[in-house]
Amino acid sequence: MLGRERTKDVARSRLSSVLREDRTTVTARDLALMQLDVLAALSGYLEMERDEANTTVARDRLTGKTLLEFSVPVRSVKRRR
Amino acid sequence: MGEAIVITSGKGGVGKTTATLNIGAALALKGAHVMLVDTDIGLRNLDVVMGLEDKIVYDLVDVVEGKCRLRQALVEDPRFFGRLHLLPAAQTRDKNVVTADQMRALVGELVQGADYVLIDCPAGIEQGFQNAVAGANRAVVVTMPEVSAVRDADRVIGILRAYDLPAPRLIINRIRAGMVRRGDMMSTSDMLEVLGCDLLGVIPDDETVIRAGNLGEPVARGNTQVSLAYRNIASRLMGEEVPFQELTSAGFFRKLLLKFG
Repeated sequence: MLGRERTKDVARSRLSSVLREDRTTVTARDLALMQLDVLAALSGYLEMERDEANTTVARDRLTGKTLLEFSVPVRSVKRRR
Repeated sequence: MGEAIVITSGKGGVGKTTATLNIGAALALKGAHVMLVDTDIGLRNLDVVMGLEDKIVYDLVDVVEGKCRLRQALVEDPRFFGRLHLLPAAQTRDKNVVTADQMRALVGELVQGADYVLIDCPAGIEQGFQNAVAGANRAVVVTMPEVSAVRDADRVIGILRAYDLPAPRLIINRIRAGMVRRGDMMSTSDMLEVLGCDLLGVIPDDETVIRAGNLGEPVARGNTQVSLAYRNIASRLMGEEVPFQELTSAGFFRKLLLKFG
């Protein structure tokens, strides 16, 4: 009995890690909608190759954090006064 | 007009159907008029848990398709003096024969004639789930102290956020006080912390539930901890403040006390 691992601690930590993953999973549809919104927000500043935009949400293995990555080729910067 | 409460869990086998019956029975014991709706079309079970399987004439799909009137499909539980009725699911059809709009209309009609309409949701998060939630104005999530069950509860809580409902309340089923004390089972507070949810009730794991299921009877009437837990849940749903009971298990010292005390 002494020194035996409390199995509920294992359950809790496994649960926390699956939930971290589950809660940051974005559906393909939401990802597409999000990308459209980001492009719209940037369109006042940049001329972009919209068709080559790419958005991902993924867990960074090293830091354990979930990162949103967005990339889009920029054609030119809109001059603003 | 009454309230429509959906009882859901994501995962199957955590006790949704048993909880639906016993919360309904406990509400009826407190004098409320209760309708239980089995939305698990194709895999109906609430009828057998209630022991009413031989009394079904029409079902939910017959009502939706206009083959009978709602009143004709309701099965009365004779043990509750006309205060507990079941609208059974169809057994030979599938979830896609009913739409969310049809369910909304049906539940809308049921709440006209009851204080509480309890909707027993099927496992899963597909059409059957959408239908069960459609007509509800409150949600209860049932889970168990297991990683898989809590994970699915979290998913369901997330999905429920998209609906126009108040935050769901949690029932933790099948807790074993002894195992929690030994550190071999997640405790109520462990699960509440993880899920960030309001507690509605804690139901101990008990043989009486299986025995009652065999007999097709509710447990809400008896003197056990399980019965009390269900009656407390009914009181909380009715808006009463009921303290959460301390779960006890007959451990060694307690047994000793019982023997000599």
